[in-house]
This record gives sequence, C-alpha cells and structure tokens, in this order.
Amino acid sequence: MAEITASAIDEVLRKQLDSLDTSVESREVGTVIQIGDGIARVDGLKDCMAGELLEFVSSEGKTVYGLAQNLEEEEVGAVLLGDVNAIKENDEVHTTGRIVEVPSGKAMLGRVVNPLGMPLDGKGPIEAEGYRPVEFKAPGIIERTPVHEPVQTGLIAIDAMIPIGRGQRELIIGDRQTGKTSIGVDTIINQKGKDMICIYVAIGQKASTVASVVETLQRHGAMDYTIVVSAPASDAAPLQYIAPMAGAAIGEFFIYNGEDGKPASAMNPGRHVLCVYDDLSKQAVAYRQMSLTLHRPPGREAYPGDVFYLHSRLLERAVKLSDKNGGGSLTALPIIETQDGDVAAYIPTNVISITDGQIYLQSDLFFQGQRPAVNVGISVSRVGGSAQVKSMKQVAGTLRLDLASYRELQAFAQFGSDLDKATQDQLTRGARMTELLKQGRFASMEVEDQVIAIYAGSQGLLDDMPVSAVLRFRAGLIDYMHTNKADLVARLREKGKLDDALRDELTEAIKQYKASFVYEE
Amino acid sequence: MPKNRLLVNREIATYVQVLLDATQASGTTFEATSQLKEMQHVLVEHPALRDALRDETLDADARVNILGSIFEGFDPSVLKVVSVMAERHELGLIHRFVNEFQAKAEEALDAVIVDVTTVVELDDALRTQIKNKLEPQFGKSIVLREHIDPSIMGGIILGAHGKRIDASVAKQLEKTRVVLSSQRSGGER
Repeated sequence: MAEITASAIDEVLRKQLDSLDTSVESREVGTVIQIGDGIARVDGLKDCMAGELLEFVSSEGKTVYGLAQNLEEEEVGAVLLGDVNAIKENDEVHTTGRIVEVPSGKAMLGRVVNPLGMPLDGKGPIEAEGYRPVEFKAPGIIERTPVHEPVQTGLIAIDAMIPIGRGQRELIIGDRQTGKTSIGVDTIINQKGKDMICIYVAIGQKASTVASVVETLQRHGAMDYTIVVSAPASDAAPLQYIAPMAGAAIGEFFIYNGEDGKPASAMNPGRHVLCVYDDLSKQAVAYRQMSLTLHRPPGREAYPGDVFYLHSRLLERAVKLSDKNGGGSLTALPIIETQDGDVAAYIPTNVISITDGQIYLQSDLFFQGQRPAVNVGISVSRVGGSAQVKSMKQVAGTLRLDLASYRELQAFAQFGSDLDKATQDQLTRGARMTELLKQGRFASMEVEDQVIAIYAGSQGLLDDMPVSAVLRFRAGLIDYMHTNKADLVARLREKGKLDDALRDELTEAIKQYKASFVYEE
Repeated sequence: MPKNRLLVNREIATYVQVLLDATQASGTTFEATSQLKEMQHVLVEHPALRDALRDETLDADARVNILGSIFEGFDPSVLKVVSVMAERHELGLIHRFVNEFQAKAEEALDAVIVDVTTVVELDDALRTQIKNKLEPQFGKSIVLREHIDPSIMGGIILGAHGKRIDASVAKQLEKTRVVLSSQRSGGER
C-alpha cells in the first residue's frame, strides 16, 4: 500500500481545490410533467437535440441521466438510464449539450462494465484514456479497405467453410440452446496472442449467465484482452438498447487510436477489435418497449419502423480501416435467437440482410451430436473467403458444397440400398468429413492443425476408417505431427499455402501415423 | 382519436386570447401568469388530482367544483378558463396553454417576466439592481416574479424563457461536492 504523507495530502487537497469552479451556472431548464415506465415527458428544453444526454435532478438532489428521444412541438420525450424511481413529476431537467459517451481505454481490459462504462465487477474505478460517443456515424468508403485478414475462431467447421475476416459482420443465428454463445465465447478464447481486443456485450441475459461467461473467460485467460459490457435482464430497457452501441464505442477507441492512445495513422497503427453482441433480438425487444412507451407507432410484430436502422447503423460500424487510417478493424459477431427455426421473422431477416453472412445453428444437428451444430447448407460468409488462409482455401475450397450435397444424398439414400460406387464413396467421404468437423467446447485448433485434419479427410485417407474412430484419429494425428513432424507444421504455418512438395510430405506423414493407429479402442 | 394538430393550436390560442382580454381589463395579467404557473405545478405534482380531473365518470360540474375548491382565492377569470378546459376534458393542454399565455402576456406587458428566487425578500434597491442588470440582456423592461426558498441557502437564481442562471450557495456547494467526490488524485489505481 502506498504511504500517505502529510505533504501528499496537502498536494492532493490543493489540486482538488484548484479545480473548484466558482462560476455561475447558466443552463436550459425543463420540468418533468409525466413519468412512468422509464419514460419522462419534459416541458421546456426548446434547444434540446435528438439523442442528447439530459440530466434529471430529483427533489432529494440525486442526478439521473436520460436520453432525449422524441422532440415534439411543446415537449420532449426522454428515456431514463438510471434509477427511474428517484425522479418524480415537477423535478428539474437540464440539457447537457452532449450526446451519451462511454469511457474507454486499456484500463477497461479485463473489466465488466455497464453500458455507461461504470464498473460492475467491484474492482474499483476505471481510469479512462478517452471517451467515445455511443452513437457514432460509421466511416465512409474512402476510410475503408476490403476485408483481407482472417479472424480465426479456432472452430474447424467455421474457419474451413465460413471464414470470417477482420472487419466483417458475421451473424450467428439459431434457436435457443444451439450453441450460439459458445461460438462467440470460443472465438474470444481463441484470440489469445493474436493481437485482438475482444468485447462481449451481454444484452438482456440473466446475470448468472453473464457471470458464468466471465468466469469461463477468466479460466481460459481471455479476460486479459476482453471487456464485458453487461446490460442484464434486470436493467432498464434504455440501458439494454444502448448496450451494443456502447460496446462498439468502447471498441472504436482502440481502432481509431494507436497503442499510445493517440489517433491512429499510417505511422501509428490502430488495433483490431472483435465485438460479440449477445444478442440483438433482445436489444430489438428493449427498443420495442421503449418505442411503444414513447407512443411511437408500432409496425410489423409491434417493432417501431426504424428497427432496421437501429441494427444497420450499429453493424455498419464494423470496419476494416485503410492503412492510411491505421488499418484497425472492428469485427462484429451479432447473435440472433430464432423461435422454432423461423429465420423469416422480422428481426432475423433484417439482420441477415445487413450482415456479410450467417452461421446458422440447428437444434436437430445439435441433438444428433453434430457440435458446433452449423448447418453448412445455409451458412455463408460473403466476404471472408478473401481473408481465408491460402492453405485452408486449398484444402477446404469445395468442402461446404460437398457437405451440402452429401446431406442431400444422405436423405435420398435412406430410401434404397442399391447405390452405385460413386454414390457410396460420396456417402463414405461425407460421413467422415462431417465427423471431422465435430469439436468440443474450449478445444480450439490452430489453423495449420485444421488444414492437416481436413487434408487427411479430403484426400480420402480416412475413408477406410470407422466413423467412430475419426475424432480419435484427428486428435492423435495432430499430436503426432507436433511431436514428430514439428518442422513440417512450422513450414505449413510460415508458408501459409500447400505446394506439391508440402502435399507429398503431408500425405506421407499422415500415412505414417495411420499405420500406427489402432482403430479399435 | 387524436385531434388535428392545427385545431388544437387554435383552441389553445382561443383560451389564451380570452384570458388575456379578461386579465387586461382587470389589470391582473402578471398575477394571472403566476397563478397559472402555480396551477400547473399543482396539477403535475399530484397525478391523482390530474387523473380525477380527466375522469370520464365524473360529470363536468364535479370536475369544476374540484378545481374551485383547490384553487380558491385565485383570479376568477383564470379559474373560469381552466374550468372550461376541465369541462371539455382538455386539461392535458395546460402546459402549452401556460407557456403560450406567458409569451402573450409578456408581449402585452412589453416586458420579460423573470423568476427570481432568493432566501430573503428582495428590497427595492436590489430589485432595481437586478432589473438594471437584466434589461440590456433582454432589450426589454423586466418584471420580477419573486419566490422565497430557504433551501438555496443564499445567493440568487434567475430564470426566464426556459434558461436559468443559478448563483445560489446550494448550487456552489453541490458543485464543490461533485468535484471533491469524483476527482481522484494519487492513491492506488
């Protein structure tokens, strides 16, 4: 503990007294004329701006912040961001002249904060390096560059078939209990040592679920580079509404500023950020509640007319900046929960159309034991292909389509047993490749290991093996390669692509391991 | 079904004009603005009263009687106009009505009404001093609406046209409290 001396106290006191402002305060003042459901109608405030931060002062002197939403002829409709019950009719409201901002900076790493950037983890105050506006207009075309660097999720099914690039927006969609959050969390865990700052935004979830995610991240050492923004179900709807935007704002600090906290440029590169929004369906529900209580007209499924814009402006903030602007990136992994697999509902269709692809998780696959339960037929990554590692592209280029046709054939083959050789071969290969893509939780694989595993499958080296032995073979093969063929793995990692010599060597190594592999346990 | 916006504007203008004519005739325009502000404050402060005055099951006479008994002693023309609003279930317009009336009253008085809050009553010298200070700012003569509030502890609060200048001791202390409690210097991070 630091020693406190009399001179230190004197210095601190002088510093604080110097910062006292004795000027007379002049501000615009309004009055709360009605309050309820977290919504306040305010008389006055003629100069109030849309989205402006308002300061509500209760009769007991407590200050609660609010967000100006409806600017009407004679009054302002605002949502309260804090203790709703502290504010009563006739309480004073002041404009602040600024929009909602959140603190950000390196001190936030490893912390759990609320959407206003206040710590929730009891680890003391956070020294902010800077503030970012919660609502921020996404950069334009000139500032951007196409997505070209990969985000490795560590999940073979995703990295091989639905690759994600830095700056991409890839939707994770599926029913409840299909492993959506797991993909997000596993991806965060896999970013260790990959120069990526991760932000996990929990919206409308149970506090216990958030606590367990934080605990998982801590256990895997992922909190060192992660910030958790939590707006649990018990938080007011406005806080849940701004949570993803606050998460994006916290992340933007790192991409628009270099390591030294100064604005990013060609000489001072910006950082890479991964934002998981878990989940946007609940944010839409919170926004619907806010809009209905603000008496905005309901549209389809009672959502307000601008719910599309709510999500599009958030996800548009995902960016890969050009080198001139520091080359930082914000990758967005929004999560959407569907009801009974209905992707044609309002919010899922909106977010599908906004994002650069989707990872679709299906409950029947999940219960068949295919985990992650990715339906490769309708999952797609529209821009990630150009960010995929070359070697992976070489071995898994046609994998997604092959597996989709395998699934089709598999359904068809159930009707008869007389199948020609080519069809039988396709079924054999498909079954083994499908098995190869199974992966447990927290068992992320490096990209070169994924390439080796898929190469073995796609070259037919697993075809004569029982399906039940595939996963054991994969694990053994990776171990064998790292122990006995470390130089080959290293070359594969360095080169990033497979040439003929490397292919031959790889085939040989796999055959060697296969010769020693015992099928039956 | 909500009323046409233009129609509502005309209704408010009618209420305002009627009250202005009546108060100008009796020379109580300034007092009427203060009484309307007080009425507005009471109606906002007591949601139960507001609900009762909007209650469809209560007949118009009952609503008017409630208003009469609560605001006994108020200017009869103010009470009458607000009673008509209550009869017609239009008390929801009271905020706009009060604001519009104040604007029109200021026009009629050719002055700006400034709310002054102090701990002790103002004397004439202070009144003149405040007026002299404010008149060049607004370019009009100033009418002071005085309030006594011991909770501000000292100093003065001036308010007009939705803006407020707070030079009270309570505010200065509050600002000091915020600075001292939120700033951190030294210590462990």
